[in-house]
Amino acid sequence: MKHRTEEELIGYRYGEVKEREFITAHLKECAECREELARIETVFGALDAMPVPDPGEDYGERVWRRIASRLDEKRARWWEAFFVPQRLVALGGVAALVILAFVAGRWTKPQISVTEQTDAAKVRERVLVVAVGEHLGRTEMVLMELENAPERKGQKTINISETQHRAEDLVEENRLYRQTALKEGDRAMVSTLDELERVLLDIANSPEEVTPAAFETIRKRIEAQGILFKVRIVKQGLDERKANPEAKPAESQTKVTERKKV
Amino acid sequence: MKAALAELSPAERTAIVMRHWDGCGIEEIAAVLNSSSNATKNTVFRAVQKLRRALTPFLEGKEARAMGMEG
Repeated sequence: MKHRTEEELIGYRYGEVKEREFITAHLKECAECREELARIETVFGALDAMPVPDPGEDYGERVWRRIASRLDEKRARWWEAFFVPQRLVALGGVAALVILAFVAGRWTKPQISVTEQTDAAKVRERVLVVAVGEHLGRTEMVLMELENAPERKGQKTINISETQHRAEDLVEENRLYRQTALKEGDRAMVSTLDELERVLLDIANSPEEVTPAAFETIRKRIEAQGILFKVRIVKQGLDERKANPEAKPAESQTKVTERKKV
Repeated sequence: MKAALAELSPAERTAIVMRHWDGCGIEEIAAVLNSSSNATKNTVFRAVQKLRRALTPFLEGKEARAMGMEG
């Protein structure tokens, strides 16, 4: 008789398995799996007995990042509150003060030159170029380790937990840089970081212990997407921009892919 | 128990707290983790597995002590 795996029994306990009836039927017949489920139940009992733990420092940030985009429309209407009649009077006063300050400023203070504004944009871009360059360097290392890992035919499972933890950290960084690149309008970088996020999530969410076959599948998926190549191209472009700030941003993703095909 | 929870990765901790204590479904957790349902199921499973490994020695010790008292 084929026993049910720990994963299936945990899923069963949470009511998340598709073949629930089959597992129920199997449990009726198999004392060993019943005992295993009872042991899992003891762990759940211990969890139930404890107070709700702190989900982690970044829990709020994670949830906020997820729902922030959905709140944009709602947030845009905050100013409607000012159209309450009583507030219109105060608003008029504030507007008058702002106009007065603006006119006074025009008379007394010289305008910020176009050059200064351009310089600020350049500094911002340079910071992004350096930070993303370093991030891509770290990501490249993780991907290279996976791609060049030696074959382990004799082993039943391979532990990739260390790589996973690094991938998890990189996912967080990647999201921040992607948002910044989006604001800066750097479409080639957004596209690469997008693809990179999917690959990193794939690694981060794989089981800790994988079979050599599953490990090979992850490796082949990374290879098939050519993500390491794309990362190197974008990184190279960033290195050039770092050395020569006047250089244009890296080529678009389509061009890179076309060139790879050739 | 706190030590066992501290051993979990941020994603695993978020997943198990949402699943076990908040009673959220896999889809809701997947949305917060920006991950697929299958990957989220894996994350929840990994979290339970890690907690189980960490708690088993204590739970077995407790059981043995209880049996000793009965005997």
